[in-house]
Amino acid sequence: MKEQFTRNDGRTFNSLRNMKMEVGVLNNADGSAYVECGNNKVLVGVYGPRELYSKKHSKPDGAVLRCKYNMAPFSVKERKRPGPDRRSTEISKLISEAISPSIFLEKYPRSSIDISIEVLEAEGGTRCLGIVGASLALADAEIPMRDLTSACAVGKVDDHIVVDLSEEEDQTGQADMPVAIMPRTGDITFLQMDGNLSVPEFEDALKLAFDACFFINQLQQETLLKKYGGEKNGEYYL
Amino acid sequence: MVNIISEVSKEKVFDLLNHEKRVDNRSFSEYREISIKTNYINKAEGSALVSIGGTTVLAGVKAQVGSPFPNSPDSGIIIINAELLAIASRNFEYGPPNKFAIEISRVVDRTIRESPLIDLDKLCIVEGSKVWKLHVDIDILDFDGNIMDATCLAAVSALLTTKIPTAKFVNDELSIDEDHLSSLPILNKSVLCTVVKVNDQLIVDPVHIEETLMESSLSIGFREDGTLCALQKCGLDVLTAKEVMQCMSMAFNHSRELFSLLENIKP
Amino acid sequence: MLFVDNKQIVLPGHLLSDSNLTLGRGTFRENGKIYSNMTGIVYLESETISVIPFKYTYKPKYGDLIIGRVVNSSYSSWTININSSYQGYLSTSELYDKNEQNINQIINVNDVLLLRVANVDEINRVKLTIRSHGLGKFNQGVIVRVKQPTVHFLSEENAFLNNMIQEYTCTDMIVAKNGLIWINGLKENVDKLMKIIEEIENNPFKHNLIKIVQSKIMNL
Repeated sequence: MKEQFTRNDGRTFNSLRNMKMEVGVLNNADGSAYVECGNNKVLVGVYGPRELYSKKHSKPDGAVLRCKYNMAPFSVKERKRPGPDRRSTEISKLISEAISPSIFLEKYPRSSIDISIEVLEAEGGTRCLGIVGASLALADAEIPMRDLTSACAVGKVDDHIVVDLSEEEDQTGQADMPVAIMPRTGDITFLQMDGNLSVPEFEDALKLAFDACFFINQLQQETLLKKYGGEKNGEYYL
Repeated sequence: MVNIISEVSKEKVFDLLNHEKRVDNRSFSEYREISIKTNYINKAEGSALVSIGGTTVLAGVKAQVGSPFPNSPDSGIIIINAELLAIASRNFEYGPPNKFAIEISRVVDRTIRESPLIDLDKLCIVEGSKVWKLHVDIDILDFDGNIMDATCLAAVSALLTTKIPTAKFVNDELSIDEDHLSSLPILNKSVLCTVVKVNDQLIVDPVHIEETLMESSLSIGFREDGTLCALQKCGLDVLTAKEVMQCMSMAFNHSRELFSLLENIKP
Repeated sequence: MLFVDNKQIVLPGHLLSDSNLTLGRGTFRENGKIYSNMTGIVYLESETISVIPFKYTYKPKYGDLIIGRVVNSSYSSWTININSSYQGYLSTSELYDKNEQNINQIINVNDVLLLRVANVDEINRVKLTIRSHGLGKFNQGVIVRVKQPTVHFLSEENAFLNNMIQEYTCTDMIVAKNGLIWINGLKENVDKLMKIIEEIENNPFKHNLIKIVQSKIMNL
């Protein structure tokens, strides 16, 4: 039943849009990543850890993770006014909460790690790509981490649970649920939902999100390994 | 919302939790006393003073006639804004809403909008030019944990008791009849329940000290029929899938309690 | 059991081992298993497992010889940029025995100093010292910034190579742990030395790098 459902853009319920990831794309940043998914284009840069001089903001027992999610004015159909708004403030807070469980912040007291997420073009699901990119950029910056963080949105469209919602499905669908996990332990670091879901549907959606996150995690790993060396018998060596 | 707690009180809270007890002798799945006082502000079209234990929030609804958003020309507008007033806690500061206040506003907004609590299409006066614009402002007056639930309860209670004047178009002119008031077109009620993970245990309705020590929390918005309308995970730590399902059943039981409180609110 | 090979590339969260090995750099233990916490190469030596990252910033350690630039001065200390995430502090009391009235005449902002790390406390405050033989202000020479593997190659592994390079190029060279190298000599000699450093810098993990460098020196 579920398998026969075809979405407006021709995808099945469990197929993602084309994804492209790259790390080390910026010259000055300590770590950077570029993520494309469909027409979404997200650029992430990481600076730090660097000493934070403001006594008010610094913490003696660990680094402060500062995350800024910003959308370019031309990234959406109606021009977006530059600067932070309520949506980007909330997303910035949630992304930094989604990333921080994976980082050993306690290794860098009195310092800050700054993540800038720039959405160059948006087509639904940018907050998840922001998390995917931020995690890649942190790995590129060689900041000690427990695991990479992977994220993907699931939702309900025409009474079907589907993965990786497009812009149209995001606006007209019945529910939208972005999820981020640390794939090694399966811990959920980010969970949000709006729309209409029953509890059993929620369970299905969460399972689908986990599968998608595991897949995206594979892509993230390949991206990082590709930068640092060639493949040899399935394992990567120098 | 940075707060420093001595190691002693932290250990005390954790020790109590390990013995299945809490600082105020409640069980893990027990709310503090909730009181809802509607029509508290006479000048507002609708209002509610809600307190959950030591947390007090006040919601007020003001209605104005305005022009609709271009992407939805035939529906009314609802704007929800929460303010963490500096009188509520020594850790709150005056100034534009910080990320915590914005998060609360947006989660409550989603709970009410996705439910949907109000049939916004019925708030349209003239398609494309004149619609009702409802401003729901929520002030947090006193803070002792669990503002998310209190804010949502106050906003819903205030909207349930809101009465707006009748607006008509007579001879191309807008006339507002202040004498004939009508209730808002209510479709679905919704409530928000937050479950907090402290010391790897799940509790509802945390007090301030428990909230400061929390690892993460999950706020769940329920409709009256038990389906979900909003979810939000906060906090710097993780939740496992099993914990999420536990949160869900705990929160569902509490949503029934909150709905029975909302039953008593008559417009 | 070991789940990786020596010199394999691993990513953050990669399971390395579940046996009782000593944790080296770039690893952490969770539920009795050892994982990598960064992108790098597995390095197994006797009973210690570590992950050597591809790039990293210098982390101050007690006793390290470092080069730093004075960025600020106050009544009690100088703040010094040591090419790391954290800045270093050099107390003015370090100069008591110099018997000077105006300390700013000895050390000024923008001066480049050769220092040693005297102490790093639990919140990563870096205390530096200048009271030791050979430490002090540089009055001439050039400073080159290199990556950490180059520093490792020139100082720890192959100290003899360091001497050999200095001898053959007729220059003075001080390799500081924080990724800065001080070179002094005639212009053309310095240029020769720079070429050698560049060679090391570009292929830090290359097989037989010592021999390549040696033959390069001989052919100068």
